[in-house]
Amino acid sequence: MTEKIFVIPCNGLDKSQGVITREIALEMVSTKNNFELLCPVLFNENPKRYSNKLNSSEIIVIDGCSTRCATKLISNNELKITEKIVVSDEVKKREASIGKSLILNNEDLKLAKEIANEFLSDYQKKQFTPDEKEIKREFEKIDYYEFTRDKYHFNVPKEGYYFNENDCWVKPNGKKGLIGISDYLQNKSSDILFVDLPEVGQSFDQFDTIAEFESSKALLDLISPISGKVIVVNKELEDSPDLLNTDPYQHGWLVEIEFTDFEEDFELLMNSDEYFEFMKKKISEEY
Amino acid sequence: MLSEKPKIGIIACSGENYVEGTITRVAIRMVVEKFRPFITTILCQPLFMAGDINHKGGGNEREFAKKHKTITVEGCSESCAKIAVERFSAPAAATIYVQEIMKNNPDLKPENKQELNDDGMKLATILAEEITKKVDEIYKNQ
Amino acid sequence: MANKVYIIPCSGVGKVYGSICREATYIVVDELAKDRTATECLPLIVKGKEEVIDKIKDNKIITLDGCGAKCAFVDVSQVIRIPDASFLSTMIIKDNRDLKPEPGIYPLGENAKLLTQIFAEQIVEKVDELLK
Repeated sequence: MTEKIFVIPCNGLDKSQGVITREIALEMVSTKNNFELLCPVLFNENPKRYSNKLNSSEIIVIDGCSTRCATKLISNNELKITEKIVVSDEVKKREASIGKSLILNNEDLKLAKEIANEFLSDYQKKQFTPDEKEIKREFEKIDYYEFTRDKYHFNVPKEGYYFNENDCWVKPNGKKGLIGISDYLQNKSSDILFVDLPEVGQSFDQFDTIAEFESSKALLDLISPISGKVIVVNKELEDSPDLLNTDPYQHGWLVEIEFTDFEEDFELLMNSDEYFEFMKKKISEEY
Repeated sequence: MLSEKPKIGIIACSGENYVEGTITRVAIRMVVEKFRPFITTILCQPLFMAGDINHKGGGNEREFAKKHKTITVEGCSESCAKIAVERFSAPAAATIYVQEIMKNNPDLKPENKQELNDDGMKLATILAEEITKKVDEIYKNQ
Repeated sequence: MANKVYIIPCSGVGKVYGSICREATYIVVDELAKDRTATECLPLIVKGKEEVIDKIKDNKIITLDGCGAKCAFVDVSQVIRIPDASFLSTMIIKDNRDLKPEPGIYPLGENAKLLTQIFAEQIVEKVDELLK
């Protein structure tokens, strides 16, 4: 990845934490070629000059203390912050101490380097392990087909989703797509307690078991509606498996897959209208 | 056997204070799981009262009770389930009081609201049979 | 000043986790912390029974829920106030996966009983924390 990443220290001058933010930023830009230091004072003087560049780049802010001047500066200009470092929090986390002087001593400089390098190491891992929790996905409102039987209510999105007979869906987006379970399946499963996700990089054929989830009632398989390679898994499900129950079509997505042969696999899938009828028939037989 | 007519909802008070609350819970499960599994459904009292929060799997208890006949099963004279159903949906088709069952079976002494003794289980079974009679009556007349 | 903690379970009948809440309440209130806890019927609270609400409102409240609908939490929040603590019995399984409870709501199976005991002990810890 060679896109520019902007680093903005608060550069506060009244506390040593503020001075340390500068050192952290300098360490980062000297280590990584694509990291560029942005002076907060200059930015504040003429935000428009930088906004275009910043809008399309990642931004790392480094604040000295909980006043978070750099964070506020960027947020007030309606820019999105990718990562934040707060020196006071880092010091607390390490149970370290820093000098009060605005002229940093060797220990302070060592700490600054340590914070910078730890950050860069974690940051690098995130770039190459896309199965880690990503920036939260945004979803648009869905229109549903709705069906009620007794006291149970079932939804099927009207567009954009394709289903297999095992009540799993794929939502294509170009050459990749998200995969999940239908409202019908989560209803039938009851409270989902555990999810076992595949590894990133694993390849699956259509109809393979791609994931497993365990509810209070049973252990169930997610049968892949499509063949492809897993590129991202929804790690949030490990802490919040109930997302499969509460939001099966959006935040309860399980994996993102890069398709192998979507056109061929697609022939065996149902669109929303077809699945809705299929689902209603099943429900009428079961409930 | 699938339900040809609308199912009947059964809602137990499920109160914690007295053993009668435990008896109602046990009895309604007997009805819905053993005696009349295809024509009855349990309405969860707490979910009913909380009002169909947008939780998938929670069901639409209140909507169901508006459109289907319900039987409430009360642990005491407070009649919480009956009042809740009437307040949030529609008057119950029938209400059965555990105390009536106990009055008619004075030799049975339930103890321990946590784990019913033999008498408690017998009372639960008698209550389940009463509920089932009522279910059959209501179902037939639909 | 609160001298008791009221434990209010959802007592849902749909799933075993509702039963676990109920049984854990009994263990806490009748055994582990009987001098400093009490319980009341959630249906009576929702009904608005004044004597019951008056008893509870000046004390600490812990709600126990058996599923994500969090009925006890929602009901108590609406009628009295937001509880001082709340538990979801399904969370117990996360650290005790080998104790997946049997699905029956009554009587509780062996795993369910073990989970209930663990759950009750966690609740007592919270009780003591609230009363400090």
